[in-house]
Amino acid sequence: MESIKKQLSIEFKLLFRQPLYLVFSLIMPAMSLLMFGSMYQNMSYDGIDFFSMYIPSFAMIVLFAGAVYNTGNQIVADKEQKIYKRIMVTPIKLQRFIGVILFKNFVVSVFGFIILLIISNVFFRVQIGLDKLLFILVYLLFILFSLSIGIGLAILSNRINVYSTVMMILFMPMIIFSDATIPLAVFPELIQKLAFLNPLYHGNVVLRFFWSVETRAYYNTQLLPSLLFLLGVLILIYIIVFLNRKKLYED
Amino acid sequence: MEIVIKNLSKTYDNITALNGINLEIPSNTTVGLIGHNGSGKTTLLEILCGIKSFDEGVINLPLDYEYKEKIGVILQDNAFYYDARVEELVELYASFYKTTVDLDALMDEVGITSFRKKLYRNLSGGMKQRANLALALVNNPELLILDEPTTGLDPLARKEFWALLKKTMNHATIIISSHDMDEIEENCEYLVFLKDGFVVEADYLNCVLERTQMNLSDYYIEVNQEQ
Repeated sequence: MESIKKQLSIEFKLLFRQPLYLVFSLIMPAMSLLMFGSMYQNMSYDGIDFFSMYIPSFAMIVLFAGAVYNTGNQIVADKEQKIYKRIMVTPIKLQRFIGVILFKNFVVSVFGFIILLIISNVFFRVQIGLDKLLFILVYLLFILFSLSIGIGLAILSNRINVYSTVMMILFMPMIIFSDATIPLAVFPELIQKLAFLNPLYHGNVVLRFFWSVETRAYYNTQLLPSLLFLLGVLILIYIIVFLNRKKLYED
Repeated sequence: MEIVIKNLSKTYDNITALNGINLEIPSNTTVGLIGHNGSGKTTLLEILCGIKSFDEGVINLPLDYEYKEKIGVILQDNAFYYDARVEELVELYASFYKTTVDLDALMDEVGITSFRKKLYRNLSGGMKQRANLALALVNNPELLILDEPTTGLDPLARKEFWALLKKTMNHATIIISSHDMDEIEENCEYLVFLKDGFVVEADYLNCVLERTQMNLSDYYIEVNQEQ
């Protein structure tokens, strides 16, 4: 237990010494909510208010950056630097060591969501009541889902340059075409169809569904296909992880 | 800690790194492990660290998590969190073991107290190797495995490293690989010489030198020039 506490404390210190992680996972979604919230707070989307649509969306960006990107990025970098090889000569199991990294990113993702709620409440007077408990539960499950994807991507990559480049190239289009920032309806029909292949689009649908009674009614028919798509991604990731599990331990 | 290895083999794809080697390393000795690049030194050391599997053979060590409580290691590609402070790394690695030495005393002894607040990435080569040694010693190991720890160090840093090693470790078995024959000859009691995955020599160093009537450098060159 002592070693877990010690590692966790160092992990958080390192997080503040490498502020790029914080910019993507905490600051960027929070600033986006502030900016877009100020601009579009009176907008309505088929009768649903801006915040019911976009708090879940920015929460999904926190998840993508904090749990998927950061997890993959750190594990690939650690692997490349041979940090895990050095851990493996100690009595600590590598799975436990990586487990602490995942827990840190879990906490960051929770913290990022709390910041969004605080901003919504303080700046835009959005009421956050007990009716959001279901959403919070779904969000916590989504963190686990996102961490699984982060781990899968990390196991598949051995070079941080490749991982970072691919993620940076995918990051913006995935967010832009997820309906989480710019409404998908403004894009051509082809883009809207392609968005169906974007996991963030489906993540956005699921999170929005669980936000309120109004969004549940709005996304009622889309929930099942999106859940199935995400489940498919999860199964695919686990198959890839299983087939490549030895890569984590290789030089 | 005495090490007995019988018929140990390890193959990577089609390359045989260790070819049925036999070794008996007496406890509490400083063992110099030499051999050209690709001779099997690192493979042997990583097997002894418990991080590499082997295909055949028997080793008298359990190579499990309990065993790892008792060993200290500097790997050839030793790596830690570069943005962590030296003292944070020492505390982190100490937390991995059931029993540890007094960390302040260790840092003093290894001479890293003056830069304990520095980030690992900002250390010079010599400082890094001192820190690496401290991290290898946090658990007061019975077996210390050092894979080319002086490579890349200037002569003064090498000398300091060996002095430090002698000062801090006089009760353990130390296995140290190196390409510097002079430092092996000067500091080791026992020699293990590998060539192409075979053991060329495994004996007390003074016996080897007496038998060959050569210094270690010349002997090394002669053996490696033989086809």
